[in-house]
Amino acid sequence: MMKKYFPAALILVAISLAANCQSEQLVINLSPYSVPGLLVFENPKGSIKVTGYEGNVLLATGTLRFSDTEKPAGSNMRRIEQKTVDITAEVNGNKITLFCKSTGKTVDFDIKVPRNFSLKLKSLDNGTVEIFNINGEIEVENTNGDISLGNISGSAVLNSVYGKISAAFRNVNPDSPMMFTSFEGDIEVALPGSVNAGLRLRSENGEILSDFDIKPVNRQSVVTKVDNTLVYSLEDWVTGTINKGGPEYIFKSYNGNIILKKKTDLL
Amino acid sequence: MKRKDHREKLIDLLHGNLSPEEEKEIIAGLERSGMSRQEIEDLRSVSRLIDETPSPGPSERMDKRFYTMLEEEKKNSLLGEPEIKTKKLSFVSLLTPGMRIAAGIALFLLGWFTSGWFGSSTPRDRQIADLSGEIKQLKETLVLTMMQQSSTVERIKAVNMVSEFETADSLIIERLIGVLNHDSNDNVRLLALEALVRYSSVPVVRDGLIGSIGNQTSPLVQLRLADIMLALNEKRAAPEFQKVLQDARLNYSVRGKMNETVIALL
Amino acid sequence: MDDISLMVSVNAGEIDKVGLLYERYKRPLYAYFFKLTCGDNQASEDLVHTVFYRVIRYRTSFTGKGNFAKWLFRIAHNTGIDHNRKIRHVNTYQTETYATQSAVYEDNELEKNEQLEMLQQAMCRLKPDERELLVLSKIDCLKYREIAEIMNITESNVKIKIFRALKKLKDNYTKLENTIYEKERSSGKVN
Repeated sequence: MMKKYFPAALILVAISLAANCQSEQLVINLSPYSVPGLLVFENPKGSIKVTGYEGNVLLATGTLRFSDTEKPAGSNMRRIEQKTVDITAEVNGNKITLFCKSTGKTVDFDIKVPRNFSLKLKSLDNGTVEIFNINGEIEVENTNGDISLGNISGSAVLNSVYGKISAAFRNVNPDSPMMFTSFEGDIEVALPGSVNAGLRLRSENGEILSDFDIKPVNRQSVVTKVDNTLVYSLEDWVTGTINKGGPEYIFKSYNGNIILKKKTDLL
Repeated sequence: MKRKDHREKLIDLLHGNLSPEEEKEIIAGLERSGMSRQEIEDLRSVSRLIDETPSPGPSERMDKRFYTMLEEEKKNSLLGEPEIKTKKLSFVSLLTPGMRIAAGIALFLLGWFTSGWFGSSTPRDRQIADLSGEIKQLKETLVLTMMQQSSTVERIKAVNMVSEFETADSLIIERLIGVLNHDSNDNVRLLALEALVRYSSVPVVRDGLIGSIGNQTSPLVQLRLADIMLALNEKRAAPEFQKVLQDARLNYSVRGKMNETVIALL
Repeated sequence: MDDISLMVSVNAGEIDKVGLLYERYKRPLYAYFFKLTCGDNQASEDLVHTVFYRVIRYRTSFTGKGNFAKWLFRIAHNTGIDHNRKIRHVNTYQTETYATQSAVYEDNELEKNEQLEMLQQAMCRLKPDERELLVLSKIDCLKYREIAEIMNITESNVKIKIFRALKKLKDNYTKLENTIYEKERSSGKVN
């Protein structure tokens, strides 16, 4: 009998853990067709931590960060717990989209996924995004907090406005470009020493540091004529290649430093 | 005129697009031929339920398979030119094997044509010129398609490929301006801006850049636009920046820079 | 650029333009096969791929007259028939919902998604051509006359068959509803 995987458009799942009414857990058993998969999640308020592991289950736990434990005055009054965190998931082929409703409260997420997963994550406020042990394409946008990636194989496109970016790659996709941008924070990226890539780096007010041997590439300055007499140069990137050159890795920060390191086993 | 079966009339009814009077007529006719209101409503609700059944989407693997196959077929239909090794260009590594072969043929033919191995313009020259034109078209269509992909990495590749073109036609420019204004990822917008800067002397591009000022929320993109407008001494940008300055949520550093820019432009 | 102009360009040698038609029609085609195969994601992707392979290989058979969508779905229809011949399987719908269902019912009404699931099951108990007619009738760019040409029957026949299919679907659905209620009553879930 042929096995068929039927992804329903909306699976409402909410299994409350008895232990703590301030957190909610969602369990999704993934079929073979769903791995490698894509996880999409936007947390309106709070952190996201994703850890890859060997397995076939997606486990998402959302916990209220601030739980009000103060008991009201008067000995006979007991607080009756209400459900405050509501996690739902939409499964579409191999794409899983998580939704969290929490009426404006900060909810921190801890998500375990199979190691071979791509991620598209966003934290809008009040949280960091941390990702470990993943093999896939990673895309993160974090407005206020830091972004940390550890032990990653694949590629990343990361953007933070006020936070720091730090990423350590065990392996990279040989054909994928990458991009790391931050307005306020430092960008620190560790790559395997043997990586073949092109580089474009720019920090308006910070420094660029690297222990890689970067061969400079002279890019033609972008010139544009105004009034037929004035010529402005608008090109201000540092461009170069590492080893044999390859897809472009782009780093841009406004106030922060850019640090590009060769990955050692200590990282 | 053949008399319509009452069942056909029901299907017309369910399809919709009938005026209330027509509907009433048909329902009355159906009841006369023995259908009950309940029956009609049951069928209508089941038909509506079909409309509501969700349709999941295909995976990106399907796209990759298709585009690989498309390249194979394109290669098969070219004029059977032999595969030639080529000089490596930076964008070649971004292409799949099938695309690389097509690009390789293009480069060989372009080299052949431009180095003037044929003394005079023969029909063969024209054929080759047409072919390299076709291949440029091929690259452009590919880039346009890639720009619409849901994968951010594909869109980044597409924008980077545009930077490798010597010239970009108006459709690509238009698409880049669209990316600058609407892409869901600010990193892609930043790259589109960088790609457009090269053409900032073209009026359409200039207007597009000015028009995009009000659509940005990323400080990096906003600041870059301010830099560019200042360097171009583009006074028309000043009112756009002023509109943005009215937003109380504007990043502090961006506000400072934009203020400076407006003052310098006016 | 509209479909017909694109295909004309393809026939003139600009094969890469098929990519644009692919992007336009890949979702409706996938949905068509997905519904016909009762939720077989892998087969649906394979079938979409085969359709576009045939679009490229047989591109000259599109003469520019008539609706492109009709030509495309005729290829899809034939591809589906080939697929069915290869795979003789019973279309029992396996609801392998890989997520545990919430055990809480608000009142006696079934959740909307349960309704939709039952409808999928009811759809899969129809014969393949009955199901196909219902699916084709829901595609916006196909008129009844064109569906008739795809299925090789008359236009009035199309409507009558759709009527019969809908009735059968409704009957299947009602049977499923009753089965579920019976199950619940016996397991004591519903008061």
